[in-house]
Amino acid sequence: MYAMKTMMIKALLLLLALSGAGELAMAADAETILRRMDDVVFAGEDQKSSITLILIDRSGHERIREARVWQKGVNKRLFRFTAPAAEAGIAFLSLPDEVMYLYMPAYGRERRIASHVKNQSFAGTDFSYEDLEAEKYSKRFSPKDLEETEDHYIIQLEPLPDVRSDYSKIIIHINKKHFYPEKMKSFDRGGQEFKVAEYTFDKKGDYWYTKEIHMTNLKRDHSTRMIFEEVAFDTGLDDEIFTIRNLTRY
Amino acid sequence: MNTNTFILSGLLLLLPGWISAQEHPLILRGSVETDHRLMLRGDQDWAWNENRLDLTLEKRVSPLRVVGNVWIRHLGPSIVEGSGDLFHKDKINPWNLDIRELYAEVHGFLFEDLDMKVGRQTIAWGTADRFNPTSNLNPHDLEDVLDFGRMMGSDAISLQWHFSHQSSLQTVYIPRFQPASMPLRPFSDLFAFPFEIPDIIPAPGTSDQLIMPRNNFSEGATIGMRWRSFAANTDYSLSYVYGRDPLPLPTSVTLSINQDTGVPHIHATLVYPRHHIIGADLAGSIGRVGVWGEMAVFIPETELIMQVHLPPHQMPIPMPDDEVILKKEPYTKIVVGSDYTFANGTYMNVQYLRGFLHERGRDQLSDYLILQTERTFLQNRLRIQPLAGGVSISEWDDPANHHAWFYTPEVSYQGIDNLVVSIGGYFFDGNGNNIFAGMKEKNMMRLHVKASF
Repeated sequence: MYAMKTMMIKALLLLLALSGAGELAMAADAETILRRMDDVVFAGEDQKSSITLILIDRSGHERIREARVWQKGVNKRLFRFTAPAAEAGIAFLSLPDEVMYLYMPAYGRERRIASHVKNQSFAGTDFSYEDLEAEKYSKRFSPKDLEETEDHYIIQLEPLPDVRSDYSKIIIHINKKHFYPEKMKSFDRGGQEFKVAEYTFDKKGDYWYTKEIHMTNLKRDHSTRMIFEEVAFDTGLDDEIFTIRNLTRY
Repeated sequence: MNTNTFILSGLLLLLPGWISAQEHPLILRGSVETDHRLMLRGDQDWAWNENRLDLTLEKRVSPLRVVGNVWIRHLGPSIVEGSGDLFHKDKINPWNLDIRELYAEVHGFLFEDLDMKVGRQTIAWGTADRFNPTSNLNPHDLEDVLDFGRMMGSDAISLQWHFSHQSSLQTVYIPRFQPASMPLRPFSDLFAFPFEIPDIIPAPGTSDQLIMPRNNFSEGATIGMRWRSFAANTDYSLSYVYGRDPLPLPTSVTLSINQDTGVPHIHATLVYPRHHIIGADLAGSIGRVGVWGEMAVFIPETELIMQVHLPPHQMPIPMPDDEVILKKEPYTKIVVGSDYTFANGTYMNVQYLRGFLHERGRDQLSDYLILQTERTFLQNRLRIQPLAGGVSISEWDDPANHHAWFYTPEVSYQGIDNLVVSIGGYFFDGNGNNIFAGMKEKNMMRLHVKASF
C-alpha cells in the first residue's frame, strides 16, 4: 500500500513538472468555476416545471411544443409532452448510467433506448438528447482554458476521456457574480462551431433557475426557445416518479 | 360471465372512489385517419379503403384511471349484391365499431405497490420491435395483416406488484378465449392451412367448422405471469403463459364427391390447441448500440393429428394419409435485434426472427431478417424510410425455391402540427410455402393521412 502511494506521488510530481505550475493553477480555477456553475444549474434537491418549446425556422415560422419536466438530484429526469396532440404523452425518462426509456402511447409500452440517440435532435428541436442529459458538466467535461472579462469567466470544456460526447469542445460564458451560464458555444467533432445557447436566469427563493434557453443551430439556421414556467424547487419529488411504472402511466 | 358483466363488475367495484372526487378533467384525444391502398397489378383494384375515428376517453380520479378507446370505421367498398341492398346504408357504406380497450386501473390497489387493471385491455410483453414471441395474452388482430404486431383487446384482470422501482411481478387472468381475427382481402387466404388433394380431383368447394373451447372458467381461460427486473445495466423479464393458440389448426378433413355432379367438397374441423409458453427477454446496450433479445418456448399440451376421411359409401379415391399437424414437443421462437443512429442522423434497426406468428412446430419455423432505416429532415417534418423490408428463408436445403423478400419504403410529411401525410409502397416476391411469397401478386401503393386531436 505504502509503495503504491509513493508511486502516485511521484507521478503527480512528474505531471506538475510537465504541465507547468501556472497552467495547472489556471485549470484549477476553471474547475472551481465549473463546479460552482454546476451548483447553480443543478440547484435544489428536486425541481419540476412546465416547458414551452418554440421552434423557429429560417423564415421565422414558429411551431410550439409543451411539456412537463421533473428532475431529482442531478441524474434523474422525466420529460413528458403535453402538446401538440400528435405528441402528447410521449415521454422520456433519463436515469443514472445512461439508462434511458422512451414511452410512446400508441405502442402502450416503454422502449429502452441506447446512447446512440444522444447526438440526435430531441423531438425536432435544436436540443439534442445530450443537451438535455441530467448530469453535471464537471462530471463530463474537463475545463481547459480560462479568460476573464469584466462580467464573465470564459472557460473551455473538453469531454473527459471516458465520456462519449458529440462535442469536441464547449466555450461557456459564466456570470461572475452569480455563476450561472449566459452563453454556450458548442463545437462539433470536426471543430466547427455549430450551436449557440443563450441563457436567461431568474431567481426563485434561494435558487437561480433557467428561465429561458435560446438554442441556435448555425448549420441549420434554425433555433429553439425553451421557456421554463411554474418552476418549483424542493417539493419532495418521490423516486417513484422516475420509474417505468410512472413512465407508462398516461 | 360475459364480457359486459365482467367489465361492469370491475367498474362497479371502483365506482365509489370515482365519483367521490373530480380533480382531473375528462380527457378526450384521438385521431382521424384515412388509409387507401391501390393494387399495382391486374386491374389496379383498391386493396384497402379505411376511414377511422380513433377516440380515447380518459378520466382520472387519483388513484383511479378509467380509459376507453374505440375505433369507429368506414371499412372497405360497398357490399351491395342486389337492388334490395340499396335500402341498407350499412351495405352501401360498410362501417363498424371496434372497442379496442375499456378498462379501469388503480395504482396502489389495497397495497401501495400493487396496481390493478380490469376490463378490456391490451397487455404488451417483450422487448423486440413489433415482433414479440413472448406477447401471447391478447389475440392477434390480423385484419390488416400489413399492420404487424397489432393485437385485439382482451377482457382481463391484471395485477402487478412492484417489489422495487425496477422489479415487478405481473399476473394476468383472461376468463374467456378469444380467437385472432383473420386478414381481410386481398390477403384473406394468407393463413389458410394447405391441404394437398390428388391431381385427378378438380378444385373443390370448402367449408369448415371451428370447435370453440367452452366458455367457462377452465376451458377458455388464459393465465400469465411475468417477472421483470434490471441487472447489469440490462432490463430483463421471465414470463409464463398457459392458454390457447389464437390461430386454429385442422384436426380432421373430410373429402366428399357429389355422386351426381362429380363436384368435390372439403370440410375441415379446426381447433385452438392449448399450450404452455415460457418466455424471456432482455434489452440493453453494447457501447452506444441498442440491443434486445426475446425468446419463447412453446410447449403443446397434446399432439394434433389431422385425420383425413372419406364418407361412407363414397367411391374410393387415392387420399393423403393422416398427418401430424403439431407434435407434442417444444419449439422455440426467437427475436434478436439491434438499433443505431449514425452521425448523419440515419437510424437503422435490424432484427433476426426465427418463427413468425403463424408458424408452429420445430420443422415449420422460418428465418427472417428485417431491416428498417429512417432519416428525418426539416426538423422532423419530413421522414423517409428508404430501406425498409426483409428477407426470409423457409427451407435452407433449397433456399432458391423457399425464400421471399419484401420491401416497404415510406415517405411521411408533417407540414403542420398534428397532420401527417404518408405515401408508401408494399412489394413482395418469393417462392415456396412462405408468408411473404404468398403476397407476391399483391404489390400495392399506400396513401395514409392522420390528423390528431
